Amino acid sequence: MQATRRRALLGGAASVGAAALSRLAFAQAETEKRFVLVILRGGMDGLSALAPVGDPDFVRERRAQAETAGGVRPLDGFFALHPALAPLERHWRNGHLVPIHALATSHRGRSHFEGQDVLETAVAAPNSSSTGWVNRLAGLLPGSGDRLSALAVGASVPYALRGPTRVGSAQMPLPLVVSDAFIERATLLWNDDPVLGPALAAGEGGPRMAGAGGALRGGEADIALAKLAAERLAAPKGPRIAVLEQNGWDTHSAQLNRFQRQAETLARMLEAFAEGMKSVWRDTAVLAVSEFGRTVRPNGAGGTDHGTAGAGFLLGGKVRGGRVLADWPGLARAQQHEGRDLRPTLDIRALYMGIAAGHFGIDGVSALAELCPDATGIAPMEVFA
Amino acid sequence: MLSREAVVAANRFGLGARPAEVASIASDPRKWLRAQIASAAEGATLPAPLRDLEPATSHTEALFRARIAAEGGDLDVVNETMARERMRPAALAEMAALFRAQVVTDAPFVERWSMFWANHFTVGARLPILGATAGGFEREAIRPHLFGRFGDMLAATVRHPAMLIYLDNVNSVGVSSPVALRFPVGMTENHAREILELHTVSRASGYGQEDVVALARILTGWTFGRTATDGCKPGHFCFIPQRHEPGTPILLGRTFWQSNMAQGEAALAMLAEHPSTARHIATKLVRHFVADDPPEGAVAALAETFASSGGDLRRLAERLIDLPEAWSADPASRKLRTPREWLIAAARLLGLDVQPGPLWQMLQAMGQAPFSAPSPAGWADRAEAWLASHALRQRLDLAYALAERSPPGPNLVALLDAALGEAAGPATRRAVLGAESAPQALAMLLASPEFQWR
Repeated sequence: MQATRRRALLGGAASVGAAALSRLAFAQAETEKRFVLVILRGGMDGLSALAPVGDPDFVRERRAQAETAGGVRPLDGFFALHPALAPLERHWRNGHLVPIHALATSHRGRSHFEGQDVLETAVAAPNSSSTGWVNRLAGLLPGSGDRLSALAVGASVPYALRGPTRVGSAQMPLPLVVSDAFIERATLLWNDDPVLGPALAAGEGGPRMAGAGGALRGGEADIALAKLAAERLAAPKGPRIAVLEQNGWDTHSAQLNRFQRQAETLARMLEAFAEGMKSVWRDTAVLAVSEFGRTVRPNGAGGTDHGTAGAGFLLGGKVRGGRVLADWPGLARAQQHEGRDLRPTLDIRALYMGIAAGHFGIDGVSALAELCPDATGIAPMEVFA
Repeated sequence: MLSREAVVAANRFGLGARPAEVASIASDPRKWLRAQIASAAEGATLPAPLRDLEPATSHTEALFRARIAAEGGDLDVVNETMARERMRPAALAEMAALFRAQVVTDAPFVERWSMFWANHFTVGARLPILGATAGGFEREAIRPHLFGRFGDMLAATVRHPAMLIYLDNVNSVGVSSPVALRFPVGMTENHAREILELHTVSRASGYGQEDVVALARILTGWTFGRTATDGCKPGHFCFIPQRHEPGTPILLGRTFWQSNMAQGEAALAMLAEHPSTARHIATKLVRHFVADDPPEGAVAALAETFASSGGDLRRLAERLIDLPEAWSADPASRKLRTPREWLIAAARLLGLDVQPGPLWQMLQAMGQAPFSAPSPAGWADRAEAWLASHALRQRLDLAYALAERSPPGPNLVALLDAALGEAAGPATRRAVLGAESAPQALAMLLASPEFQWR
C-alpha cells in the first residue's frame, strides 16, 4: 500500500512529505552576502601554516621542522605559506586572501575544550555563554524570524551555531528505500515532543552528492561536505551562512606528515568554496580559524604541544587581501608568551566584528555588542574593501 | 505493563529491555540492578562475545615487531600493510563483538557502566592501530576495575599501550634525562593535560600550566617497547628509567620525592583521591544517569560517596541507584539516547543480529562511528549534541529498515510494554497498535519520540 521510492538516507528534504516540506522551506534572507566558517579543531600550528621565514628565531626554535619548510611559498618576504596550501596563492595574487597571524581568542588556557568554547561563543571566558557567535550573527541578519539563514554542515551542530536562532543542518545523503508515509506519520508524532519536534523540523536536505554512495574516509568527507555547503550557499534562495569543521589538527606527534595531510584537505575545502561559489564570490567571505596555535619549539615526538596564538585565513571576493595582517611579536625566547608560545597580538573578536561590519554591514554599536558582548574597546578589523 | 520505575531501570540504567527480561525487572527494579552489580563485583568475567578477541598487545607487538624488522626501510608501507591486513579487520571484529555483548547481556547496567568509563577514558581511532586496540583497552584497563577502585582504573589506563599512543605519552622523554643528553628528543604534555582536565581533577580544580608540565615530567619514561635496543618487549608497557626526567616536581602543591615509576604511581594515586576528582566524576555520572544539567544535591551525594570510600566504584554505583533524582518523573530529567544507545536498544527489543559492515555504516550515518569520538573528551553526554536534524531523520529511516528485517510475528503489545511500558503516550500507543502491518508497527515503535529517550 505504501508508496516507496528511493530517497535520501541522510537528510533529504524530499523525504519528509508535503506537509512537513512547507515548514522546511527556506525563505530567502534579505542579504546577498555569504559567510562560511571553517572551525579547525585541535589547534592548528600557525607557525607551519603561515611560516615567519623572515624571523631568524623561527629557524632556530623550530630546528628540523623549519628546515623541511624548504618548499614554502613566500608571500611577502617575511611570511610564507605551507607548501600544501599552495592552491591559496592565486587568491593571494588576486588580492582575495588575508592571512592573519599572532591571532588568538581572549582566553589564555591551553585546553581544547575551553579554547573551542571561547572560539565559538566569542565571550571572554569559557563555559559562560549558551549561544554561539555565528548563531547570534544569523539573528542579526536582515530577514524575519522563521527563516533559516544558517546551516550546520556535518555530523553535529557546532557550538558556534547553537542558540535561539533556528539553524538548519545538512549532511551527505546515502541511498535507501523508506516509505514516505511512514516518515510523515513519525514526524507527526515527534511534533508533540518539545525537543525532538523542532530539532527535526530544522532539517535541510542537501541535493544528492554525485558518487556519495557510501561512507567517505577522513579528508574526502570534509571536502565533500565543503562542496555540499558551497552548493547550498550559492543557490539564490539558499541559506547565507554555513559552519563546517575540520578535525585532526592536534599534532602532538609526527607533525610533518599529519600537518601536510590536514593542510592538503583544508586547501581543497577552500578551493571547493571558491569553485562552488564562483558565481557569488564577490558576496562571499570564508574564514578558517582554530582554538589556539602550538608551542614554538617541537616536543619529543616530532610534534608540538598546545600553545597560544596561531594563524587564520580569510578569503573572498571583496576581502582587502594580498597582505598579511599581523602585529608580529617576534619569536625570541623573551618575546614568547610564557617562554614557549607565540604571543597573541590580535584578538579574534576584532576579526569577527570586522566580518559583521565590513561584510554584512552590521556595524551598530549595540549589534556589535550583541555579537561580542565582552569586546568593549576592541575595534573591528578592517578586512573588506 | 512495566511500571514507570521499571522503565527507568530498563532504559535509563540499562540498555533497553529484552522482552524476556520484563518480568524480572518489573518485580523489583532496584533489586534487579543491585544484583547485576553484586554479581559483576564478585566474579567479574568477560561477556561471552568478548572472550575470544585478541589482547591489545598482540596488535601493538605485531606492529612494532614489523617496524623493527623493516628498520631502514619504508615504515609507511609497513603501517599501511598492517592497517589493511590486521588493524582494520580487528577494529571491525571488536566493534561487532562489543555490540553483540551489549545486545545479549543480561547485565545491561554493567555494560552501560563499562560504556560510561570507556567513554570517560576515551581512546579514539586516530590511527588504525587505535581502532584495533580500543576494544582491548576497554577489556584490559576498564572492565577489570568496573566495581573496584577508580585509582586502579586510572593507573591501568595510563600504562595501556592504546592510551600511550592515543595521547602520545609513548614518545615523551624528559629533557634532562640520560636519553635526551644523547638524542634530540623531548617531552609531550598531551596525556598529562588530559589526565588533569578530563580524567581526574578537571579545570574546576584551578590547576595551571606548571601542573601540566609537572605531571608530564612525572610521566616521562612511561612507554612501551618500540625499538630493537630499548630493552623492552615490543608493544608491551615498559618504564624506561633513562627516559625519565630526574627531579622532584611539584604537582597541585605537592612535591613528589619518589624516583622513576614510583613517582608516577604516587601522583596518579593522589589525583585519583583528590576532592576535585570526586566532584568531577560525580558530576559526569549524574549527567549520564540523571539529567543533562546535573542537580546539585545528587552531585554532592555522589561526590561524598566517592571521597569517603576512596573512589570505590561499587559503592558509587550503589549510591547512584539509590538517588531519588535518578527515578524522577520530572520531564527535565530525561536523557536522549545516543545513536549507539538507540541501536542497541532496538536490537535488544527485536532480537536483531546486525552484521558488522552494516552496523558500522548505520552508526557512522547517525554520527557515531565506532571508536571515533571527536576528541579525548569522548562522546557528548548532552542532548543538544545529538539533535542535528539529518541525524535524527536518519533514526527514522533506520527504524523502518530495522523493522523490515526483524523476525516475523512478534507480540506487539508485549514489545510495546517491554520498550516503553507506562512511558508510552496515547498517540504513540495508537500509532503502534493501529499500524497496518507488523513491520510498520515495529518501525513506529522504534521511531516514536518516547523510544529516543531513556
